[in-house]
Amino acid sequence: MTVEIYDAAQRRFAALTGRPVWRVAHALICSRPDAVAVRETGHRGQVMIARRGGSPVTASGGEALDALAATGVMMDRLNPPQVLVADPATVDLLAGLARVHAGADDPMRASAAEAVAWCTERADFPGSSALVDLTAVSAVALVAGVAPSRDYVPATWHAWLELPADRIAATFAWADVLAGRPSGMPALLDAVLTDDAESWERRREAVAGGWCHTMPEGLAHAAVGLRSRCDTADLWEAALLSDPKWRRRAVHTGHVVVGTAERRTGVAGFLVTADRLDARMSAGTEITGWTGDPDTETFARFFTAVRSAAVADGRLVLTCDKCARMPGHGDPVTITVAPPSPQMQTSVRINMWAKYKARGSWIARADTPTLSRRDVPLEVMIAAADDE
Amino acid sequence: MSAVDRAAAVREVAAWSAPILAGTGIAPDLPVDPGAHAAGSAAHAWAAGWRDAALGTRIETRGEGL
Amino acid sequence: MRIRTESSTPDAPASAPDTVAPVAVAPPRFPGADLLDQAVTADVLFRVWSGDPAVIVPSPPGAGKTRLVVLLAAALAHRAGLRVAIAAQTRAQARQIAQRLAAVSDERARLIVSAKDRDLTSTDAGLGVVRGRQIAWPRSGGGIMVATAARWLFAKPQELQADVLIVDEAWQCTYGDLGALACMASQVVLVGDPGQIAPVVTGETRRWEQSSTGPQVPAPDGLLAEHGDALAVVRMRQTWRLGPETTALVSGAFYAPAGLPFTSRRPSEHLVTADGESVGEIAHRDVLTTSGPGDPALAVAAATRVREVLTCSVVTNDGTSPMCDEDVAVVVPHVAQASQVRALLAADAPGVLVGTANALQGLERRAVVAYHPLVGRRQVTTFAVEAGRACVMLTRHRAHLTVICDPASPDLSEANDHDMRSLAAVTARLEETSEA
Repeated sequence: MTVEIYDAAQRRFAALTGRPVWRVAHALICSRPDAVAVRETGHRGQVMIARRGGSPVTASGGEALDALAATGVMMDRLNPPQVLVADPATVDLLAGLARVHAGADDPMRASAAEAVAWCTERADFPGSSALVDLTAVSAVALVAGVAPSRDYVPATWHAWLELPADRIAATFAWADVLAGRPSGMPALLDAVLTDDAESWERRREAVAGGWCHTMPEGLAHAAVGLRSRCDTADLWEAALLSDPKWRRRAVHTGHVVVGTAERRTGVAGFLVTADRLDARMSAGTEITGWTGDPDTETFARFFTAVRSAAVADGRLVLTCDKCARMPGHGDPVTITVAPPSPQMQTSVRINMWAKYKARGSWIARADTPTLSRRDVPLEVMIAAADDE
Repeated sequence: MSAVDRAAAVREVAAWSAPILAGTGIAPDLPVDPGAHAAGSAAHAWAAGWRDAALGTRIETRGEGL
Repeated sequence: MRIRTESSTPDAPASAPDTVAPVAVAPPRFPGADLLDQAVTADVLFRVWSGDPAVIVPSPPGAGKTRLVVLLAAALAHRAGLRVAIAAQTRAQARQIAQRLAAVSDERARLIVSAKDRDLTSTDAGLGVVRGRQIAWPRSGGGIMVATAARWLFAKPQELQADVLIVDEAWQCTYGDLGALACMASQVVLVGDPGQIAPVVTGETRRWEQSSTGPQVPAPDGLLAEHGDALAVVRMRQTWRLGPETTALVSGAFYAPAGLPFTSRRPSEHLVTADGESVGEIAHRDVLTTSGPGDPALAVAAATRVREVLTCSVVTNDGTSPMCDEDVAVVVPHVAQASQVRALLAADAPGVLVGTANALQGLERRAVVAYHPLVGRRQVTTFAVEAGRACVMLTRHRAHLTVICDPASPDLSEANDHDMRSLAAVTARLEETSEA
């Protein structure tokens, strides 16, 4: 609960200085040179579309898709497109356009519809650079001197980031602010960018084979699609925890434990005692950590699991399993929940897909099951028939 | 020069945070040394949030992270 | 297909097997035969044995789900000669099932463990433990293998095909995961509590929000929406954990509206104070908060109440005994609230179980102190009013529950949302209980 107070202090600081406060040292997005900005004009269904340095085009309906095709948002390209928006409502508008014009007679329009549909799906994957909601990313990366209810209002960031008045110019300037951090993107988000590229490639193959995004989705696709979204959400959380500025805040949510290591004779692993009791770690939690404080993260991390968590003399005591590079007795220690392994996540998804595709189960096929009957002993039949 | 109205922002944040800070004894002029307050206390959180905001971009990664 | 015999009466349980066996010498009761003592559990066994492709068993809290899973697996493996795979949601739950199985069927049952449990021995687990290449069915006859759902997702159907897959806590398994798990067997049995917290899904699900067969929905709900009448549903209708007052409260608010009303068969159990006064089954304590859900006054009230409860004794049909730490739990919505309470109790009552609703799912204690989901809040959030969370917090106790309430929290009685109205009904009922 103290994180609300931590945030309150930062909002007050921002209000007093008139400048937003960064919550992350890294960039959470990358901004491509061929990115396309899409902003609503305020007239129903109408959008402004432009590439960097290009003249904006205002359009609605199918013509908006034509304009997107002209800026390069179509299937006929090797690397995925990047679309920048400022509002989730724009994502819904684009998804609607793609649905309505799917399979249009004009091949360019149809191609743009498929590309836009893919981009709007990628909006479900935090850390994706295919479709970037600049307001949503800002609300994570920054704190402005406003009440939290205004974090998700584009106008807040227009003011606090001193963006140009012209909406299109503002969009690119905004992306540059968020992308232009000296530390670059956290390494864990590389897996999400790779996933963008691989997903794009699979989509290209499917569309080339005659598939269209409005075709019904089977349970197999849905199951793996949900798994992918969960995997990406977990990678995103881990990427934030790998950022030193974010880690300082995470001490106040229980995601980072700062304590002292203890080694005892007869205990194979080690103990960590900490002043704060609100750690989100309990028996079985896989953790990672290093000797030092939250800022001095090194390559020499240890990976282990919590065996038990208890309170003794008003302090938290975590008992951890033996592992390589264990801290020494009396060392200051920082611990966080271990990040997921992108390789393991991919392996699980491949496995799941293989099981579905093997078509061994009526449930996976959403088929009517066939019945094959067995004889059941009389005593069981009688017991089952008895009315209570 | 900031484009925002700082006085209005301060009022807005104060109004929103009043219920959260009520009963915690935190005053805006509280000393900003987190070390002066018990870990896990409201005052410690306030002081830490303030200090980290003031540090700005002075924390950079030294390692690559994971 | 129901067969009536003249010898069965509505009130008596099914007669013991040795009075209906046609042979001169009564065969010994097979492992899992205790299922036959009750029509509901016998019905589950009958349907699975006779070949129903899917049997769904919705059960209220304390209905004996784990007992059903264990005895069902034992009966199918030993008496029907089938290969039974049991999928648990967590490693801790898999270990718990393994321990209960060991008492009924140790030769044919095995627990599959992974690298994370590298130190676990068969002695610790209570059941034979297998890893890697040791994982195989018995060469002849039936067998039982217990593992987490995650572990089963890695198994190869060609190598480890089962006849029946029993999914424990099935309402916490997603429909998407079930489709993959179900490749391991042609028949599935889904046992669980529909009133518990929904499957934990960290990813964005808006794409499937309107779909009753979306991959994120609880497995039994998705299966019923897709296949409806083709599936057998056998409802457990009794609780052995919850007393009559709690049953009326929870069944009325959460289960009856969903078609699963239930009644209490809990043996008599109640607390008495040091002065000999009986303590009611449910009580509440009002706390005024000023600083949100983390207000220390809440933790102080909870800890104080725990200490009062610890001075009581519990009266059952077996006699009276004093309460001890291990008889009590405190359950709260948030991790930080749990820390506050734990800190206050660490010195004088360290054996009291303190945790969030998520952490305490599946567990029970004689007496529980729970926070009302909205304590400290002045605005409603989806997390706070989730029916599953409220239901878990109100159903961990056998003999006594004290709910810490906040009179200034929002009034939900006029809300549009179904979950909110259920919670409003519960709140109104709690206000009528005695003040602790």
